[in-house]
Amino acid sequence: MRTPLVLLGTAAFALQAAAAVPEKVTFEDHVLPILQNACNNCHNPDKKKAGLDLTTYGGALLGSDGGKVVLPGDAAASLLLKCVKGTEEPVMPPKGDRLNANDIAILERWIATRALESLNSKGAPVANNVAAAAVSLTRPSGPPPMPGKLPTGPVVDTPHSNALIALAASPWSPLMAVGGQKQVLLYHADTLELLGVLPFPEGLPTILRFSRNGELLLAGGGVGAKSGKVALWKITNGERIATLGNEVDQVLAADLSPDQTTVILGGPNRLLKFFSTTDGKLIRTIKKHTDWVTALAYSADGAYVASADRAGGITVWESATGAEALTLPGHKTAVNALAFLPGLLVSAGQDGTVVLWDIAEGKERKKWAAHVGGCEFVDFTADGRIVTCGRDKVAKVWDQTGKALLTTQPLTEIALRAVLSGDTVMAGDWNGKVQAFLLADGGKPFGEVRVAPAAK
Amino acid sequence: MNSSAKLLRYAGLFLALPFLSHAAPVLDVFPPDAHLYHKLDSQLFAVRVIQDNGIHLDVTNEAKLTVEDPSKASLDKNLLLPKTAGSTKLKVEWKGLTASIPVTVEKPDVEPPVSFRLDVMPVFMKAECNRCHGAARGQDGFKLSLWGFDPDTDYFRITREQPGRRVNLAVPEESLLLTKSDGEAAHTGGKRFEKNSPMYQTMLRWLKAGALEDPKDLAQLTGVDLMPGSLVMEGPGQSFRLNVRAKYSDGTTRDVTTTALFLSNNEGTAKVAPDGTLTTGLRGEAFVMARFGAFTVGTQVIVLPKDVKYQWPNTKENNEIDKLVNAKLKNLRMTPSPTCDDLTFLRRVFIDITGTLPPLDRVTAFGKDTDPEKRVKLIDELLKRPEFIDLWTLKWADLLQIRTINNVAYNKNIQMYHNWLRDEMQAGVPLNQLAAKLLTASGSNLENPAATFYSLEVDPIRVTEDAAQAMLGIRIQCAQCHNHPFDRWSMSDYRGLMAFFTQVGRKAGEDPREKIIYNSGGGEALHPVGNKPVPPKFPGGAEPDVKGKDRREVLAQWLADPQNPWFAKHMANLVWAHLTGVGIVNPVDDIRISNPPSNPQLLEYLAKRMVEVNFDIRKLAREICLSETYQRSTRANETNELDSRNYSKGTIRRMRAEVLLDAIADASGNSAKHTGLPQGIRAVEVADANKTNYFLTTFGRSTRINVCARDECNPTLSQALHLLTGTTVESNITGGNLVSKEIAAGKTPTDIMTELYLRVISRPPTEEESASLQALFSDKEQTKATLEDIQWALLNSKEFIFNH
Repeated sequence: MRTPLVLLGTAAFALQAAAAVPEKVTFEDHVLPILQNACNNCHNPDKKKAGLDLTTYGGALLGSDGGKVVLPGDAAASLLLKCVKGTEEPVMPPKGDRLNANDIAILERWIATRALESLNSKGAPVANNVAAAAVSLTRPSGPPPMPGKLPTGPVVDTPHSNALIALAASPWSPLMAVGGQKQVLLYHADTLELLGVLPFPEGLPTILRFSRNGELLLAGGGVGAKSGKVALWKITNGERIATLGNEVDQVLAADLSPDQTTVILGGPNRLLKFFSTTDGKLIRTIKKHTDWVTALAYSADGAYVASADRAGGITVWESATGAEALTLPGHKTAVNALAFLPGLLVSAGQDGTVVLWDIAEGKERKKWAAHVGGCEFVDFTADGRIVTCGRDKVAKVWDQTGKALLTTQPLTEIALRAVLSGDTVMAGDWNGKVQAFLLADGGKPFGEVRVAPAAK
Repeated sequence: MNSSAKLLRYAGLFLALPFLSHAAPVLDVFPPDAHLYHKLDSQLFAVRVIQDNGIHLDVTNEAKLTVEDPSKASLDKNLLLPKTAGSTKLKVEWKGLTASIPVTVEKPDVEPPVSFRLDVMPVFMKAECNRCHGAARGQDGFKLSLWGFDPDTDYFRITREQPGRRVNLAVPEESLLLTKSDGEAAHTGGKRFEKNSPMYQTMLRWLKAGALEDPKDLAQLTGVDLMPGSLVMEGPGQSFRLNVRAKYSDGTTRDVTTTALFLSNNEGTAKVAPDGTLTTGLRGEAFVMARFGAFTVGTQVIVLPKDVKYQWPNTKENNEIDKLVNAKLKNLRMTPSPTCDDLTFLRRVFIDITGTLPPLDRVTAFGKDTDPEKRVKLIDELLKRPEFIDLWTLKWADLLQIRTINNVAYNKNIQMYHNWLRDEMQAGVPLNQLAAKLLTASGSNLENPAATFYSLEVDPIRVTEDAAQAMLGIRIQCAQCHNHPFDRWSMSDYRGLMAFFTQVGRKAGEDPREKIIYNSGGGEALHPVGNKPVPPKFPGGAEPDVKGKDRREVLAQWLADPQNPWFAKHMANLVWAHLTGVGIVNPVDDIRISNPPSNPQLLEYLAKRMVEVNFDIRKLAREICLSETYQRSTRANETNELDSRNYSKGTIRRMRAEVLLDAIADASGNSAKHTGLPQGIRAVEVADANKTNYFLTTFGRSTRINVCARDECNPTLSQALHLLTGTTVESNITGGNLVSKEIAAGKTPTDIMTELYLRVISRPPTEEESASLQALFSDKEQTKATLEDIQWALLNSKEFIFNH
């Protein structure tokens, strides 16, 4: 049965090759993908080469420092077209391949047909279904939120696993979230039963966080050097209630404010961005970090947000105003993770150490060497225990004095994420193997969960 | 074409041909044999014909290629692919010329695993990823080692530095490593290759297999061949397919023509496309390089204009040196200058070998000597003179920076060190042994003066840099803080070499002038990145076992080994540059991939000879002086006017400061006197660089503050003015009082004038010169003044100041 498959492939290829210019060309459907590939590495809101931002419809029409680059209805006079055609300096893109004839034809038609934004002009952004939550430092009343009946079929299934880089435990429920390819998997922390699969077609989740009350799950991620988004789901019914951000690279760090009104995100562009969860609007951008933003965490009461970067810098901000509250020098190399308890911030560094910071004093309270070669992750449990893992391939549970309560048996590779739910430690490694350990068992694994659910 | 045009062309051909040397055309196939090891293996071939006029042509397309046993291997144009195991031959035929290339096929059914080092790393080089990402701080947050010198770290950075970002093993096609390269994702460096390219496929195969680290016993790349070794092309727009083959420690080879990176140092003359096809441009010479793994190899390309009229004059070839020099000159269509006359030779060989002018009696006798072997005999005689030892002691004293330093190196230390050096030279200690003695010198510098090597400089950084430059001819300085941008040296190479010098212990003796050098057994060279100790590693070589050993001993052993890839070449080049005025690698202490030798075959040969004569300067110098190349006149002809690097004519160069000062004294019959030293000690013999005078400083005597082979003979205005009006010439004329002595001895003004000519510029005056000067002698009162004016004029003449 090989031949038909091959034929099918050829037919598909032929179809693609013949891809003509669509009848109705719009920015969102046709133009943006071309710009994303060829232009947006420089013409994005962060770098904004020549003052031009081509990541949004508004930016494209606004033009550059030199004036408009798109003149709706007049393709021949539009600088954007002249530059990509190479008929006028600066020829764009300056490096790499020039646009192919079909892409140029699409741009040409888009401008000629008055540069439409989208097929059905969506208008204002859709209001998100995110309700503000009461901020509480204690266990919420009522039953802990657990998923109801959710689909468990795989979005993507692959023979190999990638490194496990997104893992979170619900603060109150026996529930863990595991990041896979274009999906987030929800597992029962005690039974390791798969409870649901949340699609994340935006790409690879790089960060997972449960809301303080355990009702929502946040996933940040995207496609490297291409796009970044943050998604919010309701745990109980698996409903996607918000999708935020329009980044040009993966989101590497994100957190949801305890009152659930704000999402903060960061990544390779070194910026911190605050988004409103209700209308999806960008509230604030902070340019302070000098390297990739690697970790973000809201304080338990939501008054502060801490950010960290790949150069070792940690800054604490007043979340309401964006004013700088503290800088915490302590790590000389990359900070890999941050977590908050009331009054306490914990950071994990590539230097192998874990540092406990007293936020009221703005000082280091305790620092200890946790993992030789680098500490990859740190998390607090609601009851104040600390869980870490690192390049020495093990996960550890600590008390706040730096005393190790548990060291797991070595994982199969460097241990990248570890969380604690009740008495279950879940840790994932570079091979994508996620194992569960019981605190009482002295570090022997009792089970394993898959990063991709098995196809049924 | 009409008949008159045809006639003109034939006429041109007719005119051109008789001037060209005739030889039968030769057919070459590259590579000369082929080994296909596995299913994915293949071999590209290039076919060259060297025409009877010496011009090379790529006839790969025109030649007929067939596989003798088509069941073993198949051909796709010039690409050989494996079919079944066994051996056969590739038959090549072009216009009646044939060649037969042995072919072996080993395991055509086996698909080998993808290796990070052997397969993936070359992609980073070819796609020039490590050109931007190889910067000291990487590029856009991702760093690779410069030119892929550090595969371990590159592997770590790609797979584990940012887990989950650069590789996606679940969906390999979505790995950032690929999407950045194939234009899928935004990349400041643009698209590097297509999805269907071999580069993409190699990376994808590696990712699909799990981005595995290589097994520990993986074969190492041991060398790279770029074929052909040299090319002579005619006219612009000609092309030639280069061929690159890698060699591995398990004895296997691989065709890397399409995976190697090509560079040209002169794109106007020869440009190379990524597939290895060279295209000629304007007349000139280009050095075309192929870079693969840690190796860069080059080939010389000469491009001649079309239909140049040229005839090789069948000049004398005294030895192998001449053959190698002339081979290049023929290719360049250059006619060498004729042999210099006897007196020029006499003066040149005296200055070059002994650093002195030929004495009066030798000048008169040599011209008359009819012995056909007289030049050989003279060379042999001069090489035995102590002045030869003095001159080479001076050169090494420069390299070793022998100078007094306040409170560090006292006069006694310097005198002892210098005497020791001279004694070693006198005893004929081979240069490699001498270098080894210096490197391993231990004990009190008052008992073992060689130990002064380690007391003049205590900073291991400086010791490392100085040793590399003086003994290996490489400038490794750049690599102290970042990987060398124009050479192969990384920061790790630098620290690896430095690690040999970090355990040198120094303690003070009772005498303030005494320093005791010993092996402290502790101390490491820390890598500036990560601050980890770097184990001792030979430049471009292995990491030796140094456990429990004096690391310097290990280094010295490596350096003194005749197989050492740097030392013999560097020493041979030093001797060659001293005698001919220009290094084959020039400057001599800047051996660098991007500063290629002007005649690599000649350098190889001299290095080989240096080893064969057991690092004896005398023997190598003898062979060089005997060559016709050395004995060529400095007069140019119209073909070699512009030549400065190919030895088609003698090089005119100023005498170095010390030799010139001695020569002025000698020619004036004066005896030198240097402050604090006995009368008669020549400038060449002065041990301490700080014992200098205005003349020596002005004429560029080395201060020996650093090891740099100085541009010792750069002319300056002060030099000219000092000779004209300064005290040196005047005081030597007065001090020697030659004219008065000869007048008193009853010689005629004409005889004295001739003697002055012979003494100063080693030749009698020409008839014309003689006639015009005779006129000045009419005033008898002024004879002495007139003759001394002539003497002064001669000492100021270019003919005197320059060795020609």
